Amino acid sequence: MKLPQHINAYSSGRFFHVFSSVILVLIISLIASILCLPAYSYGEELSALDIMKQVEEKEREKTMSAITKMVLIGNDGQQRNRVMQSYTKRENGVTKKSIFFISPPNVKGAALLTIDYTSKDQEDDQWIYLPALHKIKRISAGNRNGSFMGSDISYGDLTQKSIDLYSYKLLKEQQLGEHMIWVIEAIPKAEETKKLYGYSKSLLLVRQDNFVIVRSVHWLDNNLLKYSEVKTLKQLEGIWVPLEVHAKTVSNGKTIHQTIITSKDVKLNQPVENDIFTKRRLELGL
Amino acid sequence: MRYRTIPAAICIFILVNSTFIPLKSLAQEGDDLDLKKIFESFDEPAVQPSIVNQSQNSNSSTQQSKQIFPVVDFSGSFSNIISYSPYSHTTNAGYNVHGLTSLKPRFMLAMDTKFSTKWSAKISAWTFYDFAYILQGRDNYSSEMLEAYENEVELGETYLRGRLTDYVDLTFGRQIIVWGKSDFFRVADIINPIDNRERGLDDLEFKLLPVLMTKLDSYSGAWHFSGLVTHELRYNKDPVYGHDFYPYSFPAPPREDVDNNLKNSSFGGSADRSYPGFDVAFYIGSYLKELDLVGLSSDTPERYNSRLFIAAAAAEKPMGHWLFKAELAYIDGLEYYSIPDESFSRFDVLLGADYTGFGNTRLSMEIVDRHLFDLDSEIADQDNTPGKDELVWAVRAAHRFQRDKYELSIVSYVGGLDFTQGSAQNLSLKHEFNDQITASTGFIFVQSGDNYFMRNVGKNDKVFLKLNYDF
Repeated sequence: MKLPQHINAYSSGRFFHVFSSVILVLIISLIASILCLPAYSYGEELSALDIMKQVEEKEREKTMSAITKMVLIGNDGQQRNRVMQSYTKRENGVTKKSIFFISPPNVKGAALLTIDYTSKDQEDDQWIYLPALHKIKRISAGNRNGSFMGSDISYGDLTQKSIDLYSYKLLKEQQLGEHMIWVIEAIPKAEETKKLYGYSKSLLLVRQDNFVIVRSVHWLDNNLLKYSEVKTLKQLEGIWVPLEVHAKTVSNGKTIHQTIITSKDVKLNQPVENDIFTKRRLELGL
Repeated sequence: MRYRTIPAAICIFILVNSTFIPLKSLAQEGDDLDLKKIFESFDEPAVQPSIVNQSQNSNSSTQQSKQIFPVVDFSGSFSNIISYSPYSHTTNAGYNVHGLTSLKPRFMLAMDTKFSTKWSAKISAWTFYDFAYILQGRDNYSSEMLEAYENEVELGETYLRGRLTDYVDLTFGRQIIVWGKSDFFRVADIINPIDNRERGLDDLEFKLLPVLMTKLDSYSGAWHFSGLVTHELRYNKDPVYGHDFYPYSFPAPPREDVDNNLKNSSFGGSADRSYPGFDVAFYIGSYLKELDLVGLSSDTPERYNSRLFIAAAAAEKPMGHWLFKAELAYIDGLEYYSIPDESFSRFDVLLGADYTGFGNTRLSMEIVDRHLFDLDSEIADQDNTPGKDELVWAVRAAHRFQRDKYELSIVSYVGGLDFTQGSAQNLSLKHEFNDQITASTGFIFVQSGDNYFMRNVGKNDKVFLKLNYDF
């Protein structure tokens, strides 16, 4: 495992052993007392940010298609299912995503199209086709903290958030199963971001070997915590893809709802027609 | 700044221990304990649904799923609407209404077929029988009521659709086309007639009546152009003589006999485009429409149609949690029974907004004003004529909770800013029992007003229960 340079500078200790002179140590200590500790705080933040940059910049698929099943489980154990076919395409700083709902019957035929712009100044575009209304409706992309189809993931969880929106702090590193992970705290820099996504704080557990967030905990209003965990992670076409994710909402230590998300027929970097990401296709369906 | 005052000895200590600083400070004692507690939740056993098939995940990157045509897919629903009128009241036609007003099982079946990647077809139909008329005694209803409300067999959307080229689609058959952006009012939306018999009770999917037409859609860059011609003249299904929402004490006269030919067809065209953060659409059409019932008298020999021309535009703009919408329409050729030999123009303006900033609560509001040009004020003040300006507004608040298992909503339609033209509220609670079964129950409150259609309707309140099984 290779730590970023600014972490190594502190953790190796070699720097200190080069100097044997007490005076020199004192001088350095004095300088350190003035500079190093603030620099350390700064470095700590940078290190977390650097990890998050790696998370953001790690190789991503240019296109992806998958059939995703969400099993919604209430605290009484009752289950409801949502099955959808989704397509994603990233090009020129824009991520397009189409979701076609396959079941249950009362949402079958509905479809959602999202155009996710990288630019912070540009709001995402989002349209939904509802067969019962016979029309395509634009929907405000501002409702990112709302539950997606009644699940434990929000609309905001489906979009790629800019890392600039958060302050990061590296809390610790630890072993998780067979892998070492970093535990990073993410706090929204602006109240606006908190309101938009609904999280006042998040803990992100990032695997050190592949920079994949394998677990996360989010703090919501009303004393709620939202957990998500990648249960099955597989490398397809050289890209790490979560194939099974469990998410749950916890209130005072008690799970009140959970969602199990599984993906199949996952295809990466295969040609996906632009037509899939049009309002025309929303209405025509698959 | 406080670090500058730390004695050098402490600094040495810190530096000596610098190896441990990152981890030590990263995992402070208190934080570590909290984290431990927080992370414990990951290790709790989760409910494992038996239906999640792990093997589905294996080796999927190279899978190719090829569709084999034709693909035939059946879907449908079985529903039952029960409504009850809590207040005894007499309709304008003199019939008494009280108690059970509807016990209506409805069966709907649809078949979607894909012949190839380019061609598909849909056939749908429904039927219902309302047992309320037998249970309440058929003699207590007008023949018009029994004919319009007791039972029905309808051909729904039934069409053939295909891609003529990469940029042109053709659809032929009975179809539904919705113009405009409004959720509550019809400003630009003039193509399909609506089923207005059960005010506030019927589901949306049965509200718009499909019309036989040919439609061509073409796509050029970000623009979508559409042109259509109808081959069938269909009318709104409105309350009939004897119903508590029928405004007159006499039956409506028969409709004029209109040939179903090209001369009597409706024609329309639309152009719409989506920009980043903004949608805009333009509509133009010429269509045959039955006159509104305002001003109808017992001497009117028949209900007739006038040819109307419409030019309209609509736009939507999201801003944060808000979605703003606007519609404008200019309609020419309007005729009224009470103002014979004259034709009028009308300008409709709609403004609306949706707000989604309250988590799982959605607020929607729309207001529309319909201004009739060149209508003499004295005539406009009469009882049997349309108003010069008719203002109607609607508000809806819908809150989903228990992970979308429940939806509580209230919708209010109000005529006039000061409620003088009548109003109605629909308070309902919807519950999703499972993936197939939903139920909703609620109350419809109605208040009388000066509008001809809303007079003497104050006791038309209804309690309802809807059960739905989708497959």
